[in-house]
Amino acid sequence: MLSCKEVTQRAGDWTDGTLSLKQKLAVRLHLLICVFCRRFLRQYKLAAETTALQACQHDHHEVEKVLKMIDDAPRDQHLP
Amino acid sequence: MDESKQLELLRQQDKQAFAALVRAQHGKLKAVARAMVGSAEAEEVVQEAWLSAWRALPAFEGRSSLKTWLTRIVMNAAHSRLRRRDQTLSLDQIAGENPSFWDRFNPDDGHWQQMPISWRSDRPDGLLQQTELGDCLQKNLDRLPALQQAVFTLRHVEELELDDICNELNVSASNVRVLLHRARLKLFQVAEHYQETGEC
Repeated sequence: MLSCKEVTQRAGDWTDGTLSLKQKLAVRLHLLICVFCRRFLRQYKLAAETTALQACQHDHHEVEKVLKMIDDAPRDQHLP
Repeated sequence: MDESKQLELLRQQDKQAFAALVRAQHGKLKAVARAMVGSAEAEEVVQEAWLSAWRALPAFEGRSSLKTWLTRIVMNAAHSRLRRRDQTLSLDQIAGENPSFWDRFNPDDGHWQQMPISWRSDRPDGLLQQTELGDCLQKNLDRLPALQQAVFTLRHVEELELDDICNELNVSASNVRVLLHRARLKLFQVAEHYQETGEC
């Protein structure tokens, strides 16, 4: 049976689905009996998703600046 | 509007269609630029990239998705900025790891001795109701070693597959997995600390 530390060490591969079948079954077996590791894996993923959502926030002025720049740019100016 | 119609308008350099694209993608592309060149230069990199995209759109053949194409333009702009600074994203800091997390386990049996606490919400938008947490996560993301930031951002913001991240950053699969796990573990610790203490 895996220890909690071993489960957390595999958290990345568990999240990305890159564990082997044997490792996946071992983690699943551990999760059946360990509420703390279930909580950890859920929140490990949640922290990443929350950070990503925050990182996508942008200042509307920046968007307006880009649009202004495009407005001033000529059409059909292909890159070399 | 369906995607092919939108693409056609973009190829014709329709400004309204382009504005919609900028509004939809600017935040994600800025995050990629920030991860690669830092926040001070990210806006400039994305502006350059949008201008390049605007000019190149009439010739866009659609061999990759628009999103992937835009990400590549931003990454190219970021790479040339790094080259000008004579800097590359390196694996130098792959050895560094925050040891305090592993102290939470009993050294004898490897089970939790300091268990993870329950957070106030189980949804990202719920957690971001605590606005300071968002700023705190962003600050800590910006502080991660550059390659960790880049790997994390490509995976979670751009939602690239691991293989594509390896190709884009020229890093082995095992290193990408290590970098990604370290970045996520750090952000987990930051979020948990905030849930526990209300402080960054």
